[in-house]
Amino acid sequence: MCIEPNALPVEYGAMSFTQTRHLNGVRAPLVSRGQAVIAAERVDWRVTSPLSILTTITPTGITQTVEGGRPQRVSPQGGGDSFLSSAGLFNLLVGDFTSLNTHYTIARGAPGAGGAWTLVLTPRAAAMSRFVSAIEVGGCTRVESVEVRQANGDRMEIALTPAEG
Amino acid sequence: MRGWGAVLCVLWCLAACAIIGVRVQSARAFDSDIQNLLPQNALEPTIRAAIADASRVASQRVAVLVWGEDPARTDEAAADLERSLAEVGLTPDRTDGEALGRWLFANRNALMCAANPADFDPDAVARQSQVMLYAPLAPISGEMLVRDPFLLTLQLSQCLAPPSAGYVSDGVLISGALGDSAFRIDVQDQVVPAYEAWKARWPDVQAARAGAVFFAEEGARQARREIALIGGVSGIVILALLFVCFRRPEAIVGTLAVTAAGGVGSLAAAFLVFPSVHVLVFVFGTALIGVTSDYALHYLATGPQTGWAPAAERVKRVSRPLAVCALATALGFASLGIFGVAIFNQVAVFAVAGILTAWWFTMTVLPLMDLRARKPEAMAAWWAKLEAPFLAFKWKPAWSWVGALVLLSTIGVGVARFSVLDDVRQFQPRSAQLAAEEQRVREAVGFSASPSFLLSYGADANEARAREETILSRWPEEAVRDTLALSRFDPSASRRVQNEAEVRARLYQPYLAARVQELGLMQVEPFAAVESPPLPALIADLEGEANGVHYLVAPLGAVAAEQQVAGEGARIVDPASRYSQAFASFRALAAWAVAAAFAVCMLIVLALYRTWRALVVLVAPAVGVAMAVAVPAAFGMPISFFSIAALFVVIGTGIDHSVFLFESAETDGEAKELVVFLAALTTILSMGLMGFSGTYPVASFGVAVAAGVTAAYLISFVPVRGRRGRADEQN
Repeated sequence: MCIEPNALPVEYGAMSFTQTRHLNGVRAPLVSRGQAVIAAERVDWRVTSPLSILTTITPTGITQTVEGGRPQRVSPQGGGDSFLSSAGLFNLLVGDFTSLNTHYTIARGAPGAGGAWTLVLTPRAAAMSRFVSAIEVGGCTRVESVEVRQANGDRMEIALTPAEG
Repeated sequence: MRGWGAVLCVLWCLAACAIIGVRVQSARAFDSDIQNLLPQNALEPTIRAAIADASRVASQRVAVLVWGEDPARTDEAAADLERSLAEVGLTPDRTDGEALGRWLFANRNALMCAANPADFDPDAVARQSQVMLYAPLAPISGEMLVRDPFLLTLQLSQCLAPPSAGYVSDGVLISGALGDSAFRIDVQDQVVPAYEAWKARWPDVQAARAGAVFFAEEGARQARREIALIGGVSGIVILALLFVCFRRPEAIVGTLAVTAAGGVGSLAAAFLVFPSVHVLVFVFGTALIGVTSDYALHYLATGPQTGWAPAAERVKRVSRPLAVCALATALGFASLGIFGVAIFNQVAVFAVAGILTAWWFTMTVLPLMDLRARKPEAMAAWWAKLEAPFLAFKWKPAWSWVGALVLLSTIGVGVARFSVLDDVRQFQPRSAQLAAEEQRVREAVGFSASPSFLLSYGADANEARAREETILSRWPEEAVRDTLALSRFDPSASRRVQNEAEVRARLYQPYLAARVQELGLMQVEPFAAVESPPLPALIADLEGEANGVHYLVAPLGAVAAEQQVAGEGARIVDPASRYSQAFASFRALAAWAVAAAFAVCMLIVLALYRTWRALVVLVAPAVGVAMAVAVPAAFGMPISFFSIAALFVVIGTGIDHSVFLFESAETDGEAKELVVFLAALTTILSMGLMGFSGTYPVASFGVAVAAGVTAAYLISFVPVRGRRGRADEQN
């Protein structure tokens, strides 16, 4: 029995992810796997394969630790973008769609099997539309997949599953 | 003859009004740049131009950190602020950031994160590109990988680009550059209200500001308050004194007309000579009220003193002493022009034109305005009554001893407590609130800005770049990252070739094939020709040329400012230290200039009076000069370049009282004590009020002039009165 997306409880904790990037002109998709630990004001996005990268996002900034090295502060120019740090990642991952309303127009997509739902998020801000054309979020009792469609035709899929153990 | 003089004077005043009316329409009519207080000709042309460039670039920067409880609302507020500031001339860094990104992409194979090509680490570059491929949501694209398979553009933007707008710390940073000088009043009057209106619209969002425009607006607001205070209080007290002494509205109207004529004459001349007039000129200029009103007083006093004799006779009585006073005072102010300080040049033109216009008006137009009083005998009796206490005062030898003791004691205490202040950083108090906000922005951005910069110069752009590169290649990585250097973005021709050779040989040749295979890149064109966009203004502004020397200015953070620079064609410049040294050297020079001014005054006095005895009129200003230094020092006020500059005004105005008392004794013997007292009081009052200014140069100037003129006034009685006393005894 699926839960309506607006009624989803905000879910903190650990989950496993598989991120797949499909880039134009690049035959092999870029696949990374790892674990994300989400707390109220902190996300630890730990890529474990094909290499070890820990990205920590907090309200005071973003740091990156590569292969167990020294954490380094990541500037907005190279490490991420507004979507990553503010305009939605937190809310998407924890299923807080009410907050996402300020950044996106949210529409229902085609329903899936067994009552699974899909939401299509279109950026409201023109600045963001230049880079992201739409985000599709799918799930049933929690957010299970996120697909980011970029304006240049590139795509990124993130599959989320409960962390093992 | 005087009729034509009056017509011409009125025509000049009308023309002056027209000039002012036209010029104030221009946005550039006034400016408030504190740097104009600095002596420009004390520095080498290249350093001067570089400091001006560095200051201009730095001063046009604006950064506002916005934060709040609700991130969404913070975003909206930040966007609203960016729109509001863009409407008043701010070019947001976001625009420059994109231009910088295009520049880095076009030049990626000729640039390096390492300042020294020998330190290029291809393994680290390849590894970092791998990290960027798999880091969450890194801004990469397939198109980018075709042209830039090792993501050099992104890596360069991380290591080279200065902190700019976006999400920083716990807020959103809105930053950019103003299109015009932050020291233009019209720019301040647009930017600050736009910011305040935005604050009012978003009461639940907090913000911290950084930028010279906010400090300059605060300074200009303070200057306006001071002009209102000094001008207002001077005006009111002077009017009250006039009413008490003359008891005629004509006297008030006449004095106001003379000061107004002086005012329009001074401002029009300043507008004719300078493209814009500094607001502090008006603070200095309000002192002219006390000086120019003296001329009216001296003429108006001849009314009750002569029972309103014909105008020609009254004019004759004051023409010579007024000419000496106007010339000496104008000379005193004109001497300010020798220092090469932009604002003093303006004060010199402003004051000389004001004094000469006021003198001209007094000699030609005022006699037509000051008609015979209805009850001349009553007026004369009142004047005599007011003057009686001054005349009753008998100078006793003991007073000379007391006076000498007071003078020597003051000088002694002054010498004991003597201190100097040349540090320009202490000249103008900074708003504590704005300083705290600026600190917060700096902490959030993580850039430890210092006022110093690395200056590299050469015969051409390439040589200047090569020298900057040589210096940076010797610095540790931490210091290089703390520097915003143009050559890192646009290297010299030889460094470009060297960088590209390193990248080809050590990165592409060993690693490219593997990268193509790993990603399955269908096409790869890392060296495909790309049309290079223009260098973004943020970087291009760091380059300039002066006197055929090409130079680069690289702003330094605190870490970089600690580095040593050895080698030809480069040095670290700390503008504040440079100007402080210049001020110190000017203080020494000023002593000679004071002596020169005395020599010129001596020649004027001898030429006009044709007797050696006339030189006694220089005794009072000489003592005034000594006390102008000793009194502030005795009260613990450090002596600055501006205190010394004030000595020229002490000479000019201090000589007035002696001249009138000397004239009185040498010619008709008519008492001048009351009018001299009134004249001194108005000058001391208007100058002394400048001591309340929050700007140190204005305060030290005002206190020195007030102390000097007070001493000169008191001393002016001694030699002349003594001689007249002897004459009285002989009679």
